[in-house]
Amino acid sequence: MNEPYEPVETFGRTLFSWCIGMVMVLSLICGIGEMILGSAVIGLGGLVIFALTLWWTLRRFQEDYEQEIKVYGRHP
Amino acid sequence: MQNTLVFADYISIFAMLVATIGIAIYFTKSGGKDMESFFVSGRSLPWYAAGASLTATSFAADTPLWVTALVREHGIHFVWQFCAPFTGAVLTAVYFGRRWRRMAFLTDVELVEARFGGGFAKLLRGWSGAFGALIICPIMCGWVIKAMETISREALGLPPEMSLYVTIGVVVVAIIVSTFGGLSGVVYSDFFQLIFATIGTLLLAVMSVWAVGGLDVMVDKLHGMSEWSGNNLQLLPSIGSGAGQLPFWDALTFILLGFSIAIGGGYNAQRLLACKDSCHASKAQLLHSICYYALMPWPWIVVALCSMILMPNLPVADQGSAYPRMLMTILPVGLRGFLIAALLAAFVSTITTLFNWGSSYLMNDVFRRFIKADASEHRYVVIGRFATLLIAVAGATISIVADSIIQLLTIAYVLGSGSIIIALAQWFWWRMNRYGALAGLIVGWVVVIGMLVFKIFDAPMASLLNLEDGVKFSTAERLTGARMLFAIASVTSVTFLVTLLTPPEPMENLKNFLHPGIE
Repeated sequence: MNEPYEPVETFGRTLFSWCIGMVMVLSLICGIGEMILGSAVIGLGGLVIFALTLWWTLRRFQEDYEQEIKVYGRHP
Repeated sequence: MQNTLVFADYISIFAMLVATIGIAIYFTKSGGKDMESFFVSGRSLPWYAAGASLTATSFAADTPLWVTALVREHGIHFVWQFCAPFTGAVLTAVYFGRRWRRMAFLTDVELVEARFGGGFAKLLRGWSGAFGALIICPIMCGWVIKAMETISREALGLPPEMSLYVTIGVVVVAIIVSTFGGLSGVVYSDFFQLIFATIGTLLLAVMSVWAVGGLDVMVDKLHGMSEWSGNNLQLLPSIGSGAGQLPFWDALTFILLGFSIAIGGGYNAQRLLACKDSCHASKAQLLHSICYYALMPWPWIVVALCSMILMPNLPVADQGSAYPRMLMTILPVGLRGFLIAALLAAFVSTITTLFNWGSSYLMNDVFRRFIKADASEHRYVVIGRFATLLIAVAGATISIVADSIIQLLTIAYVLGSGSIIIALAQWFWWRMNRYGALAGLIVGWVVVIGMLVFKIFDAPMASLLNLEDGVKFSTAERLTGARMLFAIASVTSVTFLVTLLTPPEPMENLKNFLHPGIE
């Protein structure tokens, strides 16, 4: 059965955003952990990955929102 | 533990409670205009307020005690039991948060009626609302109140009857917040309480590290504790059946729980529905995922690690109490009250949400849908305030018998996780119809009650899973994941089969569900 409307987000796009989001949280957990208990350099690397994935995710949120407004109009 | 609080400690506690009440009273007028103001803040929440509120609500007063117990018993990598739901929380941030907000419902159970339509869906919505408001919410309230009573006894060192009075006092504050301020009062007091609680837990972590001589000393001493299975300070979980490893079924349980959070229902959906727009909803959920699963556990973990050095020999059953014991040992008088106020803040933020959330089900999905559909908005709000009080009284009553009704909560959890695939399918698989949903609901109840109450699957599953003598499929703690998987398999297969054998939903229903009001 087809979708009732052409979706704003495809399944693949959602899956990719989800993976990036998980990398973001994981890199923050491990980055802080390494900073406290292990190597500060590895910890810093984790925090850099976190910052990059956070920036990418926020940018995608904005793109999705703009696309949604274009397709559906303002929601209730 | 002896009560060693001084006047300054009591001032901190009193100030936190008064500020919380003040915030709620500030929102009494704007939060009580109509149902939408009372239960979804007039859909005006900015992402940071909704995200902070979600985090404060999830952070229950006994969460640091649980994390402390995990670290002390097994090592840091067992904290993945706490962190595992981040997978689902992130999926809600990137997908479901936006979708929830676009639906613009008042409660998450309204989705059932919009998705399937017809008399069955109306009844299912009423059933889900009544079950959530009258069974699940009061049980969760009862459980949280009971945990608070234990903490006030441990942390404050008060005798049992005094800790009961303290708990009653804090519950009264929570009732005032949720009855007067509606969701806005709850959310903005959560925001304040989260700041309070974060400062408090950070303070304890820093002073704990100081007390053991610094981070390097702490790490060296922990590596030297050969009798402790967590001495390698491993961060990532190792799955297996060896000492210090996370058992497979435990890992599965937490992955499944994570996915059940993915659909973002319950009070989570309530916050997302209350956001200004779908972008704010996504950002709110993202903030929650980052703060709760990645940032908040670290101060608790650090305190737990320091407690391994300062108080290594606590009884096995008492590992969680290391947290309040550290609080009373490490912090100087005057600051102890600040951290106790932080724990009370965590309790108030959780319980106020439960009160408002349960009352939203009762009003929107039972009273307004089935009893009185044409009352004035003012009247709905007044009755909503009484409904909040009713949930609070039911929760307080249940806390007295919390131990004996835990099985009901277990049934609800297994039943909820059994419906994970179905809950996802209703968003992604447009072919799914009302007959499949009804069949899944009935099979879910039959299987879960057969499994947990009548234990009819114990014998066949013992031979299928090759369980040792005396290990029961229905009760063994390490088999929670297996029970969830069994419920998922049963519910999903029946739902899919019935759906494919019956007609699809009319396209008009689906269009209306996806975007109400669009032409």
